[in-house]
Amino acid sequence: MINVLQSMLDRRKLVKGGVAAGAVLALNPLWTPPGAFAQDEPDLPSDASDMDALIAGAQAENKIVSYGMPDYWANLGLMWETFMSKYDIAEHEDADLSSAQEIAKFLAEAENPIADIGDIGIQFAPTAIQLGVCAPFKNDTWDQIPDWAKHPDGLWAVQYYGNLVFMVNTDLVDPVPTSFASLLEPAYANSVSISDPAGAAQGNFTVFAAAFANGGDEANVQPGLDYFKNLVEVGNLKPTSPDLAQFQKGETVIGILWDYLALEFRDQLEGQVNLEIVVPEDASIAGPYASIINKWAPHPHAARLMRNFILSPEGQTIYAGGYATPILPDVEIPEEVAAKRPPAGAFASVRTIEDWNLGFVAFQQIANDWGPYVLGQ
Amino acid sequence: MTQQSLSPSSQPITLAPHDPITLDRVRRPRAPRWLSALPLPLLPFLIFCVLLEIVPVIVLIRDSLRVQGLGAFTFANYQVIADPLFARALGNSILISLGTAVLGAVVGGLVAAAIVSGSERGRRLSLGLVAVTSNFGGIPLSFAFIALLGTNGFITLLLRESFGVRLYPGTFSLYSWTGLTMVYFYFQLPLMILIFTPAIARLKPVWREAAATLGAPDWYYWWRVGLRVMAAPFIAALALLFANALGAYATAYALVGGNLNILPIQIGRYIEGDLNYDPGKASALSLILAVFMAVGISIAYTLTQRSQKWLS
Repeated sequence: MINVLQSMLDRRKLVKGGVAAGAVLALNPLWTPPGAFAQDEPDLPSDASDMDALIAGAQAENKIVSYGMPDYWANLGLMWETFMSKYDIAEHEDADLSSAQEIAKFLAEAENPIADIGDIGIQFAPTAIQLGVCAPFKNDTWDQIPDWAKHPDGLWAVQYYGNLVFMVNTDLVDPVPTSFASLLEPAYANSVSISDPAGAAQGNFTVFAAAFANGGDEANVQPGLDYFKNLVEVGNLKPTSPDLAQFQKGETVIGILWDYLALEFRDQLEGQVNLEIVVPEDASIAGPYASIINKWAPHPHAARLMRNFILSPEGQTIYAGGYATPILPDVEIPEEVAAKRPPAGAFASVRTIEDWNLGFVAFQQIANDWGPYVLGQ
Repeated sequence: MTQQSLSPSSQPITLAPHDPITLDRVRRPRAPRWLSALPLPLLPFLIFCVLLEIVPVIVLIRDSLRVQGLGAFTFANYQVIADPLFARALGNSILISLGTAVLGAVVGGLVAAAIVSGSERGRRLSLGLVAVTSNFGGIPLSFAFIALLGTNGFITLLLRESFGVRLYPGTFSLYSWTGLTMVYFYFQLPLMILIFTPAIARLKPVWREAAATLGAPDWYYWWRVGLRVMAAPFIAALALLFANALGAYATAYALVGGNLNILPIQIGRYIEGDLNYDPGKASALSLILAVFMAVGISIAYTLTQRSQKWLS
């Protein structure tokens, strides 16, 4: 996808450059190179050193538009509410889009921008950078964010992540599996359900985690594909999806999914289905979501202020309340949430993908090989 | 209103209202010919068709010829069908649609014949039931099958607890081609009965009586007359069922997700997926699918026209 979008961008640059040059030649006798017009507005802050100016700017804009940050997701309803009352911002609108759609729309709407800020799966960060849709901004807790979770120039920053877990229906499964290796046992015949690795990030990360569990890494995810091919051959992969309805019906008995979804589903099914959440011992994986600010944002100060708020201890605690794992290391997880999560020590097996340029290629490989190689389609 | 603009139309008012000759000469304002040719009551429907069928198809064609559905002009999107994964997806889609169409047409045809030969009361009752079931489809249909025949479905548990028959794992799986065929069959059958019953009902009893008078046994009448007259409407119905199954997405997706390779699911991955978002390729694949549906519908249309000759 990068290549195609890249060629599109080149064309856009060309057209924009041509139009700009033509307009400049026509209107301005003192011709200046078009490059001088293509740069960002110079007065937009790229860090949080002058908070007063940032707040004043955001209040003057009095509105913020987001893509892919709906109220129901990861406690964002409370996040928006708190942000808007704290800084006295009147209006918020969101369009619930997928990561790829967010980036495509930022780019397509460059001349008539609509949205200010977005939340993308981290695997899309390289695309967003290559297409040049992001504005740089380093919030005031920037130094506390781990290096793997931020762009060196502030073009994106991870705001929260999920951990891949097994959720097991203990009414129908005994004993509870504890690792990817154990899922191969005959006891789990036709029992293991995952999302579609060729269509959904959750499924793709599942294969990635299996690669980690079997000696692979972001440069080599083949062990993950081999693992699932094996799981299919022993008859343990079950073609149902690890979603709420299937857990409720007892169709999905061992599902592999993000912990924030698992915790949410278990709350909703309390008293109906007995479910246990396990972090696989041999490897789990972090699925991070990154904040991007639209380079052409119509409310640029509000967008920066929102990123600053999300990445403050207050914003991070709100995420934790929605079962997402905060990216800031020292954020306290609310007690009632901590009590529902697996013990903190269990998360030691969670791996992170450090190099997302490699990670992106691996993602494509998993998506492309899943049907033909693993399922033999 | 000015005096001038009033003058031509105000003229008739001054004429004697009861004089037919004068009235004839009055030039009443008349709608242009193209407008009067348009059936006015159909207008809302036509607008509906343009907005929800014709415009989307034009957009689809446009997007299928652009990089990512919004970039530069290209034919490359159509090359995805050369990828074995997508070629097989198309093949699988055609196969399951054709298979369930034949199954639905044969069984549905026999049911339709039975309904027609039954009493008037029975006919009304069974067609009522069929009409209800034909409106049951999509995600609810898949979920109903899962509740009945899934690994913890009602029938699955009943067989296991009461008869010791274990469907899972090994013997049967709803999440397979067999399962998908069953669910497709469920929506094909009532459609066949609904469209084929009227055709069978139009077989003229005099043909049969004539054959009987000449000494032909029942089977001979069917072989030489009945089946031959019914062939065109039968194949027409078959083609419609084929087109009907080809586009099924929600039903299949709710049942098997990405685990079976059919074209609508591959298209869905390009539109809704988090990984390979590409509306351009999705549009190209949709149009390829649409061509096959159009073939089905054209066959149905042509044969229906032809069978009118016999059955009107």
